[in-house]
Amino acid sequence: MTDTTTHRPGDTAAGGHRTAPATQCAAQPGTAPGTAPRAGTSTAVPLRFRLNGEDVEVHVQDPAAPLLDVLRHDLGLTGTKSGCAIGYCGACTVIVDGAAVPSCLQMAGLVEGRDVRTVEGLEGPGGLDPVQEAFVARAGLQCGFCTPGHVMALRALLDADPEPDEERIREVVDGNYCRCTGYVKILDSAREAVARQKTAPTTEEER
Amino acid sequence: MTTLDSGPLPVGASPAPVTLLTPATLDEALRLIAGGGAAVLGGGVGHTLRRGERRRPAPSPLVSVAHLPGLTGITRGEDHLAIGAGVRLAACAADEELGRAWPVLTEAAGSVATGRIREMVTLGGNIAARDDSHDPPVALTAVGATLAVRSATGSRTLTVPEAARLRPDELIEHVRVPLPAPRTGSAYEKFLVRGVWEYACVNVAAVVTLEADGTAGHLALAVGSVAGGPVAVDLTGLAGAPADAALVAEAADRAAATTSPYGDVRGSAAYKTRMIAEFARRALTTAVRRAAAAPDRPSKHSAGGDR
Repeated sequence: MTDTTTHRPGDTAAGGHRTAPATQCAAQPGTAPGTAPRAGTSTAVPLRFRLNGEDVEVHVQDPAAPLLDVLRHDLGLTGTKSGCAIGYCGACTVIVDGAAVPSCLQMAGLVEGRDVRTVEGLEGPGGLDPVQEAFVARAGLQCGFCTPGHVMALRALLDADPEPDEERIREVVDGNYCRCTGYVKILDSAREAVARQKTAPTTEEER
Repeated sequence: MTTLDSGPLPVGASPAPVTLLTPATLDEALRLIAGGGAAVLGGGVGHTLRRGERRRPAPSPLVSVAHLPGLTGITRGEDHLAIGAGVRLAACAADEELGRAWPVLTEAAGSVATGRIREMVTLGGNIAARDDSHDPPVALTAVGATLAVRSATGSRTLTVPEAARLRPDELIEHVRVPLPAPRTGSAYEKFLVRGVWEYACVNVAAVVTLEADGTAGHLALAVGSVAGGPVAVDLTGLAGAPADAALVAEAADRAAATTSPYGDVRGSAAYKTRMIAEFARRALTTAVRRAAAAPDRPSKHSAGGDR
């Protein structure tokens, strides 16, 4: 999937768009609904969504492509990792409208007008998000491949529930494979993140 | 059956682009699918998973419906709950009223894939995919839920196993779940040969309603991951007997005897038949226990029941 025009975060002023009825995302403008794109023609269509607090517009060839591909290939945001490509390893987890989801299963066209957060968008008072700080403090990573998924899933959890119990933490860490060390230090990091979230002045309200 | 395989495309190849339409109203969605050439899109997980399969070209256009008004919530009627087809499985699994009424439904919804995938999958999409190993349809079959189905020209009601009759110009609007009779218990059992995060080897849902004298006034079993599943097991003649281990064993044996599992990576057909008997026994046993603990009259604000 190759974009014809890529707007990096901050480049565009596509904000505030409200989609008209039967928004068509694909084929060429003016193509009648129900008509498949003609072969051999350029079919890149604009996809607009909020990405890490900025409105972005990216031209995608296929709105049925996974959001993961759009993030990594079209937008160059490679912090989100591609692992199993079937939703189970969790490495590609991003936050869409508050829910942590595997971006390899998230159809890109369905994020039109929605809010997407990736690991690149995390920040905190000390530079890092408290969840990231917790992983550093508790050595919750080795090779780091699974880490963006864990961090984003825990970020979504803490946004929804600042004081999750142990069962909830385990539920959230589950579904994100670590093939280096196992999960003891990841769970330590998750608990540390909960503790830091309680004490740290958070920037999340600014979103 | 379902086999998970990312099936990556060869380098440089990309699937033909599809058209994705996002209608703002249900009527508009029904018009868009009226021709029969379009595909209804729920959470989009199935389509995204299969995108790399070259032998199965993606249908086009895709019509996104999960966000449509009327499909997004769980509402309570006089004698039923209506779950919008666009409700995510995570929301189904977390719904307290649904869990009080039918733990079998919240357990089944909560057993699907991972928590992150459950945030994406819609109940309607899970049913309409017509995969015999999917969990929610098994539980809904045991409960006696029905599907409220709409097209541009009318509406009709299907049972869950009848979802195979969905026409291309139709979509599921909501799932209608009856409220349980007093002293009803239900339970879901999903057997995973490798542990978690997998499609079931066998999955069984059970519902039992107890009479005042301890007999089973009503009992139901549904089995998934079998040919033609989910299958509502024919338990004719068993109601009215005491809800004891003998009845449970007889019903479980009937589930094993009347269903046809297929051999695959999760087990041979013969193995699965034995597992169906065992997990039907477990589901029924839990359902009986829960029925005995359930309030003996329906309560609008019941906090009771064994979760």
